[in-house]
Amino acid sequence: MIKRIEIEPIPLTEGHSKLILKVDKNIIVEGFYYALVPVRGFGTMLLDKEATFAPIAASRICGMCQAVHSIATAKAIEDACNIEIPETAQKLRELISLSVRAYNHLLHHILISGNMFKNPQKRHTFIKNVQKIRKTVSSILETVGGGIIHPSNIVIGGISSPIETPVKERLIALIEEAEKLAKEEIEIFIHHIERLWKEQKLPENLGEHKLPFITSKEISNVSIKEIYPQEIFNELPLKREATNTIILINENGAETGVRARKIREERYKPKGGIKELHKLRAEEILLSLKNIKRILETEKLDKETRNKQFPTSDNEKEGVGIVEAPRGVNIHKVKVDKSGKITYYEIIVPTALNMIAIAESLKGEKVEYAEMIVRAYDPCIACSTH
Amino acid sequence: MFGLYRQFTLGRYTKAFIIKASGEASSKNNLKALIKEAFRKDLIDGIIGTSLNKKEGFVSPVFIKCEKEVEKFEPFFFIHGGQNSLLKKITQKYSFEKLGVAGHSCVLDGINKMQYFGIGSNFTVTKFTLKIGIACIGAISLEGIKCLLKEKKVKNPGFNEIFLENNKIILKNKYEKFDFSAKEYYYYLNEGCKVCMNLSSRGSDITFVPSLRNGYSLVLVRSAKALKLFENPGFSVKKAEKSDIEEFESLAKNFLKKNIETILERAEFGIPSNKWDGNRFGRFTALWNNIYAENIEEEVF
Amino acid sequence: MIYSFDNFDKEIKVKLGFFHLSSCSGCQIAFLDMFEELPDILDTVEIAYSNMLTNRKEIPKLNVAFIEGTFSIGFKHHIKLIKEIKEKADIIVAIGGCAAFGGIRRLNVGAQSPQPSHQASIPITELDYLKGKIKYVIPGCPPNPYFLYKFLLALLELNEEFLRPFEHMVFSTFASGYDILMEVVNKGLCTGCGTCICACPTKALEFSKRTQRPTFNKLLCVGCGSCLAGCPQSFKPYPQPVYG
Repeated sequence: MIKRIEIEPIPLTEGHSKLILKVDKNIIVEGFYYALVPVRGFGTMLLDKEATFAPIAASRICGMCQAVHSIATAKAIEDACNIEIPETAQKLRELISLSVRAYNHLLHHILISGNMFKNPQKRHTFIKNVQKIRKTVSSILETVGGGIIHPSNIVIGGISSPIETPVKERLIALIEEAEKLAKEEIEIFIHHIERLWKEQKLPENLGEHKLPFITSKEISNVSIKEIYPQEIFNELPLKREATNTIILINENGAETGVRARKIREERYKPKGGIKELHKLRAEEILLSLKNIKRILETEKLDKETRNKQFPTSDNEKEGVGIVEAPRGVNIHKVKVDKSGKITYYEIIVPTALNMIAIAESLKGEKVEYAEMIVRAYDPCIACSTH
Repeated sequence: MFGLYRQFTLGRYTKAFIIKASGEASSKNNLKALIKEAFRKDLIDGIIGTSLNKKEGFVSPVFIKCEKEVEKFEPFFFIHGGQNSLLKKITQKYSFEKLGVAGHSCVLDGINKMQYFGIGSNFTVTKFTLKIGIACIGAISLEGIKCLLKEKKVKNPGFNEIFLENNKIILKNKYEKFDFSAKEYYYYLNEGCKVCMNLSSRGSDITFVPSLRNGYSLVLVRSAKALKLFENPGFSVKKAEKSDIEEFESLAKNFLKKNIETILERAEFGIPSNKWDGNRFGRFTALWNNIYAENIEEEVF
Repeated sequence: MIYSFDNFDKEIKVKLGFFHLSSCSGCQIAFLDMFEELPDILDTVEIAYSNMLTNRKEIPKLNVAFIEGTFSIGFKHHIKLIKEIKEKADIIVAIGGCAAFGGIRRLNVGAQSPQPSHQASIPITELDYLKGKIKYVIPGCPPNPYFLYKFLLALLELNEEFLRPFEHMVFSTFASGYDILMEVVNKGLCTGCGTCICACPTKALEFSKRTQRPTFNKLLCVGCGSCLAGCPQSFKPYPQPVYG
């Protein structure tokens, strides 16, 4: 007999969300994961507002992946208004989004540690360790972006202040220190993940799915369709309860995020399952730090960083800003009119993309693992209810 | 019982010196010597101040990163120039460990408040190590100075120095010196400075008085750390005479009396001087009358 | 004493809860961004409930509940949550510009898929239901981690001197850069020190060299209340640092 189980809230995740599971003999037949935070209306808030306000507002969509939204909206507006930004600014933006990536993955480690440790003291020690690296990564964000949580230096036309050579040298020293700490932290994290799997006798391929993977590189070649909860659910309360939309890629679901990046960039053969996801995410911290160091060491960052052209367009061209956010592809689409006002705004966030991947992963697994599977995707509810 | 006691007008200090830099005798050079000494003694590795930009004719905040840069620094007193607007950038981007500040009482108030509450700038604000307060009789705008000079029918208003001498405010350019009495100067004061009760920058390590008397400027030392500046310094230093202190004190008193009048005037019309504490005037008088009992250092208006 | 903890005992840690209404979670992350100072604080306080940090579904009894984000009118989860918090927490602290003054949520107009009816958003300080329960307001978007650290310390030490201004702010339900113009510049209290420019998280305030005053660009303001709170002329019942 098929039973219906509701789990709400899901602790150790960002925001307020809910799981609805159809269960047969303790095995999930079908699962839905959705957000319960009210729609925050950033898409409509920006309509008929001056384009210069967009990066500031977009940054406030999310307190975790802040800067990637600012960068995406700035890119979209620059695209719509044909503003070319200096190369230095591009590099600095890459630097910011890489540090956001490391910062976010580390934050996820703090959240997930609630699952890994039974003893609060041990968890405390683990968190202390993670905090040390987060501190160094955040000082990079602070230096380049002008703030940790809502960086104010990201403006249309580039970045508002360059990085002088002495500052750059200090950052390199910081990143070297962070790298050392990160190596240790990643080892500890992977060790504990392995231990968790062994202790709880979890299946190796827990949370496997057969969906394709997608990154920002191939997103422009696929069809994107947004579907509403009203279309998915049959029951009435659900239709009006869920506050996030779901994105279909080529009429199908897809996974985006760390695993997709690994597959695209390193031709990695995925084994599937959420344990792999945890490991890859941990490894990506070091990779991001290395990339930050590479940019700092090879690029000249003290040149002109801003094109002060006023953003206006013909109201026809749809500007698209695609950024590879920590959780996957983040897209902002915008149209700007002659007076510099936004006339159309659309946001596609990675968590909305991953909703189907989460649902697919839940299929065929035991009920008690459901929350763990959701957590592994590091869903960001604030983003998905933008 | 109203009384303008020294503890209130000058604040508590441990020692008073008069200092004179080598070279041309001017109060700005004396301040520069003090800053250089702080760099030399490794008390600071960077300092913010306000500098006169002669080209643009503005007073703007500057950030001095090493002893060499002090040479280019043109301190101009009694104009604040938005000094604290630099703070975020300096503390976040440059992340100096030992930051100094040379500013007037309200600039230091801003920093002290930031340090106490933490609003505005992050942890880095704890990195301030040396606060050089500049005794201030009230801020005046560049336009105000222009008007003052026009009143005196001065034809060439180019000026690069302002300081106190003989109870007068002196404006100086390359060729000439113009002096103004407190009364003349007070009219053009910034409205916000007319309610100020902290002329001597009480919340600082050391207060530099931009005065000049035989080439010497008065300095009030408030903390042990600042005392280090006077151990074998690169400028000539003497113990301040009673008359040195009294000269500034009488000028400060003069301004304080006028400020009290303004505060009373505001109180009469119910113009607030403080948003959060509607009874500010009550507090003011209560404290005023208990001058012996209360520790004035703890209260700032 | 401003407030009292039920069954306050030195052995028992002060229990904190973090709640998230309609917001970005940034304020909670700012709390985590205290980095090295966080473990120090965790010795005296316990994070008893936070959806991000604790593996708990029920809300336990709390001493202090930190709420971020605006209350969405008619949204039944918020109604349930607010009722539960009122019952279980001794005091509530509205953390961040949204919860305190509305912040950027003041610009929310709704009409967005998939739930276009989610259009009414108000700061929790506007809720009469919570009058008297909300003791303090923390301005900022997001509040500085250092500020949060100092605030928590003051809360634990019952430092009234520190907390008083934030107690008064409960009665201001709107903030913007106009505050600095209204309360400081207009009232002739501005001295041109530039502290508000440093406090502004969006560069809506900038310094004009010519006039020696802040200039306010209302386009960029998110209404977090930092500028007036940061201004040395707004409130200063703080002791001057004593130098030894």
